[in-house]
Amino acid sequence: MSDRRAPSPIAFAQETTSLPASDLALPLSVAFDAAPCGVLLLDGQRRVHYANPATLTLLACAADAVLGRPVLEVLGDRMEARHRQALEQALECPASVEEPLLLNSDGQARCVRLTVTGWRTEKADGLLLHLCDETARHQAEVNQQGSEASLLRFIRRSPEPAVVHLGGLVLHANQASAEALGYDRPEDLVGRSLLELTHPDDRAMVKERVGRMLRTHEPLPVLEERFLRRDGGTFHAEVFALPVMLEGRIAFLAWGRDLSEHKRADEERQKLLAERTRLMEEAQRHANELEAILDNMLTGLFVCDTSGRLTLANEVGARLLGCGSVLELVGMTLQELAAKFDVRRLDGTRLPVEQMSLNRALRGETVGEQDSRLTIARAGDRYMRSSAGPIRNAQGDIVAAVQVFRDHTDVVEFSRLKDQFLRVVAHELKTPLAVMQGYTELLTRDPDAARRLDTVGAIRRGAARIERIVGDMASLAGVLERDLALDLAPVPLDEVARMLVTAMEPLQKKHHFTLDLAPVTVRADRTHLEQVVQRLLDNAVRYSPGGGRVTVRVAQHDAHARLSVTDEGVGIPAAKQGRIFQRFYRAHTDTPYDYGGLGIGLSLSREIVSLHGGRMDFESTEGVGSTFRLELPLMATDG
Amino acid sequence: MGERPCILVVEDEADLLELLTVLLESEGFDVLQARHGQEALDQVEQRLPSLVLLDMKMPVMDGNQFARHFRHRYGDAVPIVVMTAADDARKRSAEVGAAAFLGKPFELEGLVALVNELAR
Repeated sequence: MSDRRAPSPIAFAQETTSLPASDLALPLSVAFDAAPCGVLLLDGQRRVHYANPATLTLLACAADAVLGRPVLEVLGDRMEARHRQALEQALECPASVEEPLLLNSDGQARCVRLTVTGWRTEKADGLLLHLCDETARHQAEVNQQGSEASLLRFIRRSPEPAVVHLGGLVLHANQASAEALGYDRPEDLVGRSLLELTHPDDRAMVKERVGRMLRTHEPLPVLEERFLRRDGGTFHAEVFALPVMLEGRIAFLAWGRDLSEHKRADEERQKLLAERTRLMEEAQRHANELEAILDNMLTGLFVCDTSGRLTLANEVGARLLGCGSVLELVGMTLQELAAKFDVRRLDGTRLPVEQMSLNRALRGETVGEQDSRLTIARAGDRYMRSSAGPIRNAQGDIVAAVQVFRDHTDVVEFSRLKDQFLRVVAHELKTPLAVMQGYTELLTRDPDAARRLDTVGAIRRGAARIERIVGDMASLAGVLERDLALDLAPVPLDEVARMLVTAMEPLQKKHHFTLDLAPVTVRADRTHLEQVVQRLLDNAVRYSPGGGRVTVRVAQHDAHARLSVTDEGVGIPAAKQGRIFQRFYRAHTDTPYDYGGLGIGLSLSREIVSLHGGRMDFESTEGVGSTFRLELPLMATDG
Repeated sequence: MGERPCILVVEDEADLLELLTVLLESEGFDVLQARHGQEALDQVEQRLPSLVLLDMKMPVMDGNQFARHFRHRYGDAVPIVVMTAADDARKRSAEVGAAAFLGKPFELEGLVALVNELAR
């Protein structure tokens, strides 16, 4: 850029030459021929007196085309009307004419900075014109303006939101950005702060980015930013920012890619993921619930696939089969199960694998109740009652089978005891009945023979036995239904023992009774207590068929009265001692020592003693004898 | 006495044993008494009966065991009549190869008739 204030040519001439004014032509050419900018010297009539080579080059014409001609022709005719007017005014009153375009003789437009100054000597005065060619700079500016216009046009037409901001203040915006941010027109955004349009959570980040760009003038990497919509909503965009020259200043173009759709898809995906997580958690919860149910149910449970392989077993199922863990069972085939546990029917015959309830269920059968016998390590034979059914998929195809089962052993054994009990009852009743009936018949048939026998005594004994059986059964029924009425009163236990032994002694020729009785009184139902003691005495005699000593002791032990009956009989095998008080259990059934009885005496006695707040126990050695003891709470010692 | 047919009565129930003894003696039989199988085997060693009236359920040695020993020692010549209170009297009597059975309680009339038929 040259200095707009050119030195006065007159002063220049005076300083550089000492020649008189009449010789001006020479020093002017010396002064201006080499000047880079055009110089025109006008005389008082505004005619061109001198033009330097730079002027001629600028105007693309020869010297004679300008010298002596009025400047308004030389320059004014090459200008637009408004610039010509400005030139005319400047010639009247020296001033600058702002960069008019001149059309030179080659037909090229030149942009010229034109300055008019006046000059005066003693002899003459006139004007000096400076013509600086600014075409190149002007062209650059025009080009610059053109690229800015293109940029703004590009922004205006962009389907993606874009704004140009200057240090965070919006200068330009497009329709897309207005729409994205919820404004009607792009102009509504102009003048707003970029931060104001940014989501509060992202403001710090945007501030930092703008600051960085101001410092470095470097484009910023693409980043996802959130903007604040006018309605309070959020607009997501992927923003690319770069510095641009605008009106001679560095501004920034922020160009966004609308991520709302992307965001919505992402949110949808997140929602689906959350839903999937929720469903999985729900499924997990159901699985946990199911597992808790399976582990806490009282029945065993197996599930097998269509190949007959166990895929699921619960803890109870494992325990029932004597396994430490379900892992021992899962994966086993039904064949392996059948072999491992020797699965049989109740009658002891082998249960074919295809008849196992799971296999029946796999064939579509719903198995109500199927009993089988399994041999289980350390537990022996156990009876299982199972139900099973097929599991079908949505299409109705059988995909698995489920079986529930429980240990039925107690029921089976109780059922056996019950059957045996009924048989024993019948038998026990038939024998005294046979006695009574036989003797009655003998009385009518052969009075002589009847007279030779104690006919009436035998009948009475038979009736007494039936009465005792019936009484036991009635007591048992009472205990079972818990309505055995006890008529409690002070009872001297030693007297009861003495009375019963005294009554028995004459009938038992082979047995020798020993009494060791201390005076002890208990509070009891005398009838029931006598029955209990009578049963112990009967058992002592019954199970010592070879006779021997029967010792009855009554004594006080701490706060209890204790009565014991000791015999020297056959004793009870150790293996059977655990069940001796079990209802209907007869230790000597089907042994040479089966002397009859219902198998309820001891269990009934213990129940009755228990109702009195006492307890019963025994010691026995097979082949040596037994001692049965009962303890009752003490009432008084000196009854 | 030696002329009279001899009946062995094996019965653990004392009153029944007495009843049968008196009844059969009044019918003209000699009666050997036993309260269980072992006593019965001891008795037959002394004198082989013409008929055995056998209770099944007895202590020490039951009817089954006695029958097995008896058949083993003396063959099939002596008929056995089983007296039992069991429901499956027929099956039990078949098991011991009995000639007949009497279900308890039984009528003396029928018993006398049966014994007369088999023992004479």
